[in-house]
Amino acid sequence: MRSQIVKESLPLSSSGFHILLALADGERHGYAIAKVVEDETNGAVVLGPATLYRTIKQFLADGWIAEIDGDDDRRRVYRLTPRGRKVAQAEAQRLESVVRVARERRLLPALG
Amino acid sequence: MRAAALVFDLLLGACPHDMRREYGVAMRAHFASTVREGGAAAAFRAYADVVLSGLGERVAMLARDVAFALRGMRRTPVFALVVILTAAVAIGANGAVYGLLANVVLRPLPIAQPDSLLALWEVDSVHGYTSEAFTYEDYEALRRDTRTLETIAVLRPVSGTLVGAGGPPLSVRGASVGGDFFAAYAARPQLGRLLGARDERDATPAVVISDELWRTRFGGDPALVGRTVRINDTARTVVGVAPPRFLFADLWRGQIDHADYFVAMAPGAARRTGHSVLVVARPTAPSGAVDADLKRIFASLAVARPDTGAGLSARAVHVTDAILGPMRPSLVAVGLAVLAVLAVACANIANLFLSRGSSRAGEIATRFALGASRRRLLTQLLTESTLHVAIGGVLGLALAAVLVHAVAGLIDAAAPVIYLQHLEPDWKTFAATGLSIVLAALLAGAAPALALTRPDLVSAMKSADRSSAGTGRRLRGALVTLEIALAIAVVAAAAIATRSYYDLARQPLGFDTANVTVAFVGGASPRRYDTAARADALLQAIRARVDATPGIASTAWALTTPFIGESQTSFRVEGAHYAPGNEPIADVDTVSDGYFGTLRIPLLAGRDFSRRDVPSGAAVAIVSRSFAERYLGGVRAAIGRQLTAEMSTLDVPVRPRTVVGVVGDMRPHVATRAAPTLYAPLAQIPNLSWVKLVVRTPLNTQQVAEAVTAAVGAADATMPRVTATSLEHERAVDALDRWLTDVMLAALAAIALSLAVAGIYAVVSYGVARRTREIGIRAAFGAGPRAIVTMVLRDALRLAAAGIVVGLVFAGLAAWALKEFLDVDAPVDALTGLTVLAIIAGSIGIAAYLPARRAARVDPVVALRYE
Repeated sequence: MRSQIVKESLPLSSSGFHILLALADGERHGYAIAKVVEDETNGAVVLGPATLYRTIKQFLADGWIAEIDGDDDRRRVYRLTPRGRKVAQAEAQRLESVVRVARERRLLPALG
Repeated sequence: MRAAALVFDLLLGACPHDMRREYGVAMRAHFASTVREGGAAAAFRAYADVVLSGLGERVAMLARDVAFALRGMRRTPVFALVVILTAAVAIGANGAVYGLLANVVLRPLPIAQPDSLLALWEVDSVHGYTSEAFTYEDYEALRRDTRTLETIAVLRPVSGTLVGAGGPPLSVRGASVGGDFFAAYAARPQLGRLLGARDERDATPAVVISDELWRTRFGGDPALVGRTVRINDTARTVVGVAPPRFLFADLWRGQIDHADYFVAMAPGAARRTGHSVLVVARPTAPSGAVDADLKRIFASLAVARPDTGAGLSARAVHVTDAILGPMRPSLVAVGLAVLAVLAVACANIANLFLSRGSSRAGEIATRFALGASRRRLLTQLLTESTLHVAIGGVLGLALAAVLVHAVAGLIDAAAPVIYLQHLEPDWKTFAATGLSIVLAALLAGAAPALALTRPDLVSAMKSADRSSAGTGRRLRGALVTLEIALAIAVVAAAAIATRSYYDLARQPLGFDTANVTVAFVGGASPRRYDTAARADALLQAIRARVDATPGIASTAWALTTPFIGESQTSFRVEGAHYAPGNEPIADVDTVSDGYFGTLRIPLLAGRDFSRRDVPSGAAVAIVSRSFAERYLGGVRAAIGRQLTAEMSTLDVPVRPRTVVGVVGDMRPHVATRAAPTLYAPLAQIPNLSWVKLVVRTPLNTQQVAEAVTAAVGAADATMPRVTATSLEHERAVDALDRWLTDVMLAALAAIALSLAVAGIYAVVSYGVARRTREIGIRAAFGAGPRAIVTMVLRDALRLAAAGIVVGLVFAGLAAWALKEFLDVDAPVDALTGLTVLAIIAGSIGIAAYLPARRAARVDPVVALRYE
């Protein structure tokens, strides 16, 4: 049942997936998430303020991330929930299988 | 930097309120950091993001709300159906009425520059009436003396017979026009030229024919211009063809009309009336100057002709008001009624949402607890009600289209009105219906949404004690009061209008319409029948031949008949003294012998006209009973009295007439009262221009038309075919607009009442359901079913009482408005009043009794099981 819900959420939007990825190795505040995403994608994905917080709002409602209580409204800190981690894993696996197909079709060089 | 931040703040408005409230500070900080690192390019990227994502979030929220509302509708299909149907009926009625209003009253007249055209009304300050029938002399004076008018157009309807041009004689309707007639309507000739000042001055035998006549009679022949046609025995040169669908205002007939041909007005008898005058004021003329100018001109006319000009003046009104004015009040009445229906429907829907909302109190409280803002819940509840109303509205729009076409078809079948022949739902109708949907959705949705999300109520709802959570109970009561009050007002208005109409319609008309056909015999050449003797001989010849036809019981000639045409005159009774211009006025008709017998109007004293009443004989008249009683000292005393009246423009010189008979009163229209009437013998004032043969016969109108056409053809082969109509048909058409108003009011009253009753039912049912526990306790303590029914009924009555009191006030207002603006006056007698009250009370009683009976069946064990 739970995995069904996770599957229904896929594929994630690229900005959504990157936000989850950015939180995978620890809690971050909003602007830090955007910075990490921008660095890791070499500037290909730039999260604008409204896109970022709109997605954060949705993920909070879905229970994929949680807010860590703080007292600075300007720097709100978020962490991944176990459920969010499952969704991110499922999305990564989905992408992995896509990449595997791409390799079989020789769009990418074979691994090692 | 500060400017960039300000722009960002402004653009944040694109985000939904909740998102701004929650993340506004964070987004601003984010923006500041971005700009610090990325400069102007980053700022612009952020602007684009905040707008696109903000709006995207709004759309997503709306989609979620709609999906949520749709799921809700699936969960409660009966509720959804009731709300949707309620909205559909009210919005459909609104759309239909507005569609008719838009086509009859709000649409500009189908003529050129309707806004600058002014109609002139003749005002008779002595007799207190206005008319549109100026004399030729008046028109000449206007043209000569005006200081404010730029354009003056004059029109007098004429009729004639078109002979030749490869076909049988054709009866045609024409217009004798003068002044700047075509210029006033900005008409351009389709072929050749139109009539101008020279035609009028030189009385040229020119004729302009209509597009329709050109196509049907002359096959659209472009070489027609310059050829000669014969109309009424006069050879006329066709100088041009009018533009297609050329319409003009005929104030005399009070309608937008068309004509088959146009001839230039020739200065005829200066005192001849029947000229309708339209003008355009100079753009520089200040407001009020036109009326002052008219006053001045007519004052000098009054000096020039003291015998008839005293007390006469004229004023200018917009042509639209002149033509549509008479229809407006009744349509406004219907418009108000339909708004009342919409209000009742909204109150009803609001009540339904309130009742359902309180059963969802737990859900709402939970969502509050989870941090949803009040604004968010309001949006969601409003989305829900709007969705219901909008679905109903779409159904209603379809219903409106069907209704408009049905009504238009009804009108068209009975009495073709030119405006309604091109009836089409225009964008305004759709816009207005759309507006009523939005209005209804807001009115119906806002009150319950606000009431249901009131913070103090929410806390109350959280407590287990349901009975204290009287969610919007007072609001529900107020809504029901409003519903009942409005429904009573509409029912009362419909009852008064219907009652007054049937009061009049039920009274005898004073004549017998059954088996009477009226044949219009037109097109006799005025040149061939230029003496009274010749004209009389023609009428005699035709009548004798028709009389000889098998199946014809009796015939008579008349210039006007009941329902068809009317004419009035002022008169002087010999021996009485009147100030100049202060003579009384009566309806007047010119008829042959046998007219009263044919219509079965009783002869009360004296004799009928006879063959001996010839032009050279003693001048005689017959008067109606009310005329005799009012002016001649009674039915008996009237015989032998003498009076003077100008019976027609042909009656020159005017001779004193001796009253030889008194006949019963008759009402020339279904919805009017009898007026004093004066009759003159047609044989003494023969007039062939509008003459009608009244025929009593069991034959149908077609057969009568054939018989009369044969008789006319035998007497004069140049006269055209005869058309005929039955008095029964004319009676049906006569009161059509009134009937339509009454039918619409009655339908709206029925809708308003059903909605109000449904509203009471819903509220009382809800009250019973809510008080199940209390009723159970009462039952447990020995209250019998009868006591419980009484209790519930008493509560319902308390609810209804306020509505009835307010409703009676509304009904009083409606009655006053009907009398004041529509001249609809029905004594609010015991019958009308009791009928309305019985209908209302009965409906309320049933609506309350059903839930009361359910309450009486409450099983205390079940009711208290959960305690």
